[in-house]
Amino acid sequence: MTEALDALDPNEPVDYLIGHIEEALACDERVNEPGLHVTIQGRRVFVDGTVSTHVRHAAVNEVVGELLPGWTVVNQSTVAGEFPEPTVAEMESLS
Amino acid sequence: MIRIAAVGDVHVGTDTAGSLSPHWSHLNERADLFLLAGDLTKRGRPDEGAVLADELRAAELSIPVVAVLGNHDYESDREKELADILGEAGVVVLDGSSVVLDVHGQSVGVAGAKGFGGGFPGAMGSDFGEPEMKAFMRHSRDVAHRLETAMGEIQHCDVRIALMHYAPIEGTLRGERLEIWPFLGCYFLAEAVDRTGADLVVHGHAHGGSERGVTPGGVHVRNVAQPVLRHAYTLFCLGGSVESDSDADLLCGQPAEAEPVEAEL
Repeated sequence: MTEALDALDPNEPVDYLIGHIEEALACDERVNEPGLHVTIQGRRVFVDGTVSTHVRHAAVNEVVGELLPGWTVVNQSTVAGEFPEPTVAEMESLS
Repeated sequence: MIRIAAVGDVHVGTDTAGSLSPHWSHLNERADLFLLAGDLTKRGRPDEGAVLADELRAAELSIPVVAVLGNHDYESDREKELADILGEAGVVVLDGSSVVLDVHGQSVGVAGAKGFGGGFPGAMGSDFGEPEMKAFMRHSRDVAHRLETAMGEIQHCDVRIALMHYAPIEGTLRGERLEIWPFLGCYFLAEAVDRTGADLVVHGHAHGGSERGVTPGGVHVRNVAQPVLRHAYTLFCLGGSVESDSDADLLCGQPAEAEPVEAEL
């Protein structure tokens, strides 16, 4: 069971909040996704990018919610596990 | 003509068990070779490696599976254990090494290494200053050197593929935020490939990048990071001419059109 993260100071400059959230999404073992991109508008946190599973998608909300309690998380990340098999084989000539 | 299936950045964890084998179970009919371009696991833990090994066994793959590890696979400092677990499942895990396969009578050489960051001309680190900065750039150069040595081992092959996790060129990073490019790859890797010669480079890592690019020396590069593909994997037919190769329909699915760019499966 992962311990809840300490909340950030919501009065910090937005740039620092974004940095701390992106760091947590990369390092927290519930998510471990360094490729997520965070933006903040007012008290709304937007998260974009791709995660592998629905469990990790839900964990994004959990992690951001712990860092900024009471703020709205707009989790726009997509789940790679839902990607379908390819329907075409592309031609690649030898270099 | 060689049919290659490839994907990177599948980030297998205990929460992904059973999700990959349903897709991969069709690969025996669709491909001659399956390449895994790193970040195979979420945190590089042996239990995650076991999940991936189970997926591969469940898919009952008879085609060769060749992989490199990525940065996620190093997170728990148990990368050797992870490689062993995958090896027991039949995966050839390359780390500054190479393998030569026989595919339809053609020798296919795959040389692989993880790669590393460092950047690209005009925006890169240097082996200068603090020891930490020197260590960063020296690791990048060392990995590229080992890739070059491994590429040298497959120069006699009919088809030569370089497999890595980090990006060797800027072209397949387009779409990523410019500021993070030095963390996504390094030109040392492309230089290693161009010095030795190759027919194709396959990499992952750049989730927001582009699928296709080319090294300064003219080698085609494919970014197969799953978030870029937006498919379970990608398939491509390497070599031959679509216009002239009458086997294209058999190898890639539907009969080849006059000038097809893609072949329907």
